[in-house]
Amino acid sequence: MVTARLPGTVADAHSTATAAPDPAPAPVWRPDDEPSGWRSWAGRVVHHPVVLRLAQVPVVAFVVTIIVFLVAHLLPGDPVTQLTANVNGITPEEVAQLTSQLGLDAGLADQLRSYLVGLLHGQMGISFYSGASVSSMLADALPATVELAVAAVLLAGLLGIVTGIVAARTQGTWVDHLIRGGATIGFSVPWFVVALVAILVFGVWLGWLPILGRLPTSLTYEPTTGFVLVDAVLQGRPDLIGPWLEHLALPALTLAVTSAGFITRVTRTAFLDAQAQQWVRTARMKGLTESAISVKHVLRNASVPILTIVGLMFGGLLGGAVVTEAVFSYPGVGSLLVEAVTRRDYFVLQGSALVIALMFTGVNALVDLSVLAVDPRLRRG
Amino acid sequence: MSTQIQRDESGNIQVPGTMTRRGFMVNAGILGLGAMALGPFLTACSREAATGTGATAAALRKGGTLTFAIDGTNGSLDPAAYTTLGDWLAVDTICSGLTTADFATNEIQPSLASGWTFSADGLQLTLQLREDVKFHDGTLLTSADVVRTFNRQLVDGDASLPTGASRPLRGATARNIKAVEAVDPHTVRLTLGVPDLVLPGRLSHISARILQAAQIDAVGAQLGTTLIGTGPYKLASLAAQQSITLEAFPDYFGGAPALDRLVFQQVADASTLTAGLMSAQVNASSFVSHSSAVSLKANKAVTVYDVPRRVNVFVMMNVTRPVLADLRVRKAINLAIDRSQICANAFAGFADEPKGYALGAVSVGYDPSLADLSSYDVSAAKALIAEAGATGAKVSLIAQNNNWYPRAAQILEENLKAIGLVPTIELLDAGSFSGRFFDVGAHDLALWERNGYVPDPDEQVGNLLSSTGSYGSKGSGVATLKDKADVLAQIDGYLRSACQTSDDAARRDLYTKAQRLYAEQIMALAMVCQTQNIVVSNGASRLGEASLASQRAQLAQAALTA
Amino acid sequence: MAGPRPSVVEVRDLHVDFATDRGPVHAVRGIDLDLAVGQVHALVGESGSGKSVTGLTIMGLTRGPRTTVRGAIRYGGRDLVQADESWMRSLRGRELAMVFQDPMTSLNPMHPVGRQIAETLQVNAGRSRRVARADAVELLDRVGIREPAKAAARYPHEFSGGMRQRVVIAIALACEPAVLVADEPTTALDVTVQAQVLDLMVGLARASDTAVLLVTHDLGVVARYAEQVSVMRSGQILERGPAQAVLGDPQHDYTRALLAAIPRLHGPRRRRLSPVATPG
Repeated sequence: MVTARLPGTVADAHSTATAAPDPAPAPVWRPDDEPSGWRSWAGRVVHHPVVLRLAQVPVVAFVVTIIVFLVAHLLPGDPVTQLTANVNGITPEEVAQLTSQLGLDAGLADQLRSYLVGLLHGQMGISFYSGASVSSMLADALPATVELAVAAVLLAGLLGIVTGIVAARTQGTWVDHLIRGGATIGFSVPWFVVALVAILVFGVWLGWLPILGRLPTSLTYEPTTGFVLVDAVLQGRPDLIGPWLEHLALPALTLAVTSAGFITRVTRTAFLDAQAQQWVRTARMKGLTESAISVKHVLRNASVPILTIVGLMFGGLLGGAVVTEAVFSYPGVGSLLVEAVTRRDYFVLQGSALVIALMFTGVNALVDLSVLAVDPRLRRG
Repeated sequence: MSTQIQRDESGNIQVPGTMTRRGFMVNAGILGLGAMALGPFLTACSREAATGTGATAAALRKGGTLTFAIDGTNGSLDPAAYTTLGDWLAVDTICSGLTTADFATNEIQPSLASGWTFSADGLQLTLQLREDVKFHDGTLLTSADVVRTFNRQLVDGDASLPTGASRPLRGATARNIKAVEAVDPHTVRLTLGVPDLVLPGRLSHISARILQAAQIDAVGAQLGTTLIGTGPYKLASLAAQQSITLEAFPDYFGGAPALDRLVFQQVADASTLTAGLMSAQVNASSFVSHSSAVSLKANKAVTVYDVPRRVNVFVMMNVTRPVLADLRVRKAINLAIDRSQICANAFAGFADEPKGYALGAVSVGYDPSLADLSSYDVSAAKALIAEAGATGAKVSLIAQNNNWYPRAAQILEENLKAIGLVPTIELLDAGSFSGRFFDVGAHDLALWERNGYVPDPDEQVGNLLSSTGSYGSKGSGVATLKDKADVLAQIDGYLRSACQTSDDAARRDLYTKAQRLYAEQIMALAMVCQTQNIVVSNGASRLGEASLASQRAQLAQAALTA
Repeated sequence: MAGPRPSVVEVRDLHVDFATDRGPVHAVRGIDLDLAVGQVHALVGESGSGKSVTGLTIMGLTRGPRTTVRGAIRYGGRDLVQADESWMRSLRGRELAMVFQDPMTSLNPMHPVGRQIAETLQVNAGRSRRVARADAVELLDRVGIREPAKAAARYPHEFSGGMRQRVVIAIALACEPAVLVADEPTTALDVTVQAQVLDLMVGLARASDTAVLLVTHDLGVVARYAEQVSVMRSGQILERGPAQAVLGDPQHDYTRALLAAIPRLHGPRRRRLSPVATPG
């Protein structure tokens, strides 16, 4: 150990008796640190960030249900008026009878209570207009929206992250400026402008891509799971895949283009931030190529803000999906929701809103969990 | 438009039976109907001649899939429960009715019924059914099916109805059917409360489509997803919010249809619909917005049809509101509407100014002498307003926020300002709008349209003018006008009598009296124009465009062009 | 002490300028430097003297669009100033290595430490992942980390500053480089840990005949570990020579002032510290 020192230095006053406390408050790992016993295990499970994060999902769902219920019932107009609007000479007694048949004559609190009770039993009500159960309507519509959202996220993510990395790597050059300019235009242009241009150019003038629906009207499709890709495999129907992709292309691209710009900017910033970190210098010192550094050292570290933003954007994407589905007549939960709002089809409205909220919180929970997986500093113990 | 009334030996009114449409067309030519104002419509809608903008008749091919764009589908096709216009077009195609209407000529023709007779007192209508009609599952139609179908909607508490079914058959038949019975396997008798010669026409309504008794009893409320009918196309599959797929029914009693498949595809967005028609991803639609029609007309590949205009556009005035309580104010508003500008700007020219008040040129009962009831006279209007002391009065107008409504509302706003009123315009989504329209506490003026599913003046005008109908009681509140009770009773009397004669001239006379009385004494309805649903096709033909203009589907002959 | 050792790196008339928004910054203004095999050459100066830049430039880590390097850095028969980037990259980690000042940020927080050591072995020594991981454990042992096998799977944030710097040293010396640039390696560490870490680093370097450029502002460190010392101020070297000579008998005023500025334990308690005059 150290004995001789430069004579007269202040340091001599404090000799190395015991190991002094570290300037950094970070937990010091010692091999005999592992706690034991089932009690501590249970404690760790409950406080485990994954469990905590997942537990938020049903809570959010509950709150959303209440809010949507209240908003739906407070909208002016009601389904009974709409249902009977076209019936000549309907009497007030018949209107009252219909109201009571649909369960709309009970007080708001009673209706809410019975709805919640129904939810607990897995019943989401029926559509006033078709009599179909909301859960079956959602089971038909949800896979389409999921396909659209996943395709849009994949496209936007791919486009955004690649351009963002290129912009970061070419920082300051014309390439960087071009990409950043393009990204800003991308998320500034109103979505419907992009949609209309896409429809005109690709649908009408060039005639390359279909602009309506999920599958061509000339194809019969009997859903097993509701997901075309899965069903194509299960049913041995490879002929479904091509048309399905064609129909998915325009809606997914329109959504992706408007969201990718934001991801580009976030990726670029996150990348530059990560690049400026000292450990990148260490990696450079090791003699790694710039690409190896980008992938192994920068990207994983930059991925935390990118993932977080993508998760948040997913909500915007879902909202965009609602409008997308309306414009492209793409049959998903979004168009269900829009129709239900116009028609005051309360149960369908509530069910669709609930499902969309669950999707959003679920995705964000996933994002949070993947951030936990990516960044070991956030893990406890 | 019928000719002489036929009566049989007993003096019963009789309509010639087993007449095909083709046969009737030939007769119409012989009878010189071409000389009437209906001529151009006949030419436009006949199967032989070219349709639309003067294009030469295209060669047709057998088979293929025709894609028809609709406003929406709820995935439930049931004549007892109105859901969307698109769903009802599908019901109209999958099922047939006892009678059918020719929207070009206003004739009521046999369909499932080969003929019918009224009893001498007019309180019983006996219909003979065709014996060769098959349902889509191969079974034959009998009178039991008709009885079961009607009772399903007419009898309260029928268990085979879906929850919330609005049972439109009752209103469509003026709540006049007291009993339905099967005399024998191919004869049905309807017992009525009061005589109603319009009833055979009413039976062509979509709500009167005949279902299969076996299916009603088997699945009842759920038959909306597996509807079996007797129409030219049978239901293959449906997907709510998406599409309804129909397949040809080769044993259709009117002859095997030309197409393999007919798909009603939901297209919710107006610009997507236009793009779809231009690129032939959609072959036909009756839901095109008026503004898009102009650009579609310019497109070579697309045909925009010239069709009868039966859709009434009107401004409903709520007489229970203080500002509108004075008849002079209401008349002034009627005089202030610049109809020609609205037709040109809001409807892009696809509308006619009302020359016969609520009955357009194509209707039975059209009387151009009523043109003065819809004249445009701003100075006279101003004078009336001043006389009533209503200058500067605030008045609100509600309208929907889609299609032609905003532009029309804008023009009306200017019109109302010009006569000295202070208008506010509220544009609402369809759901909120209909709620407020049928609530006398929630609107002053309301701009709306009314489509008649049966080309009979009673269907088009009866409910509008009657004091007991939903418009009178809940829309305009005229039923509350105590001092006008006599006038209202008189109007109702005319409307009733008009249903008890089949003489077109007599009917016209009655409707003229009713309308003039209404306009001069009540004036809770200012007629704006008669318009149409825009019917467009690309790559398809024989769509029965005249009926599509009133959202009725007569697609038995539809085919794709080669 | 042995006789003069052969030079591994010869720096001649090195100038490093940075173009900034406020005009050019002349960080290094014509210095000469020699690093001998297995010896520690200390580069001493205040903050801003250009000593860190010198170390980074030898590594080639100052290269960029705003940097101008003139002069020569001779190593292995080539001039590193003129060498292209791919050549420099092949040298880095293998023959040129660096230990940075702040151990808290020098390691990637998302990779286990074992993997970070193994990385340099895989890239520079061509070892397979399995072999590199095993060697990494051995290296951890050599730098004095307890239970090296378990430690290899742990993340940087689970270690103290001193232990992290040991890991960085392990990374730097893993491939037994010819040159090690240590830029204030212990400044951020606790005083009692500093000596341990320096002992370790210098000991390992000497054992593999690695020439060390020890950039520091601490004259105590110079006295203890360096054979040669260069005193730097404002981008220039003012005095150079064997450490005992320079510290024992400083020739330049600046060096004398530096030495005088060290507070003494003995002597009058209220004596003022004599500041080192900085040039205008």
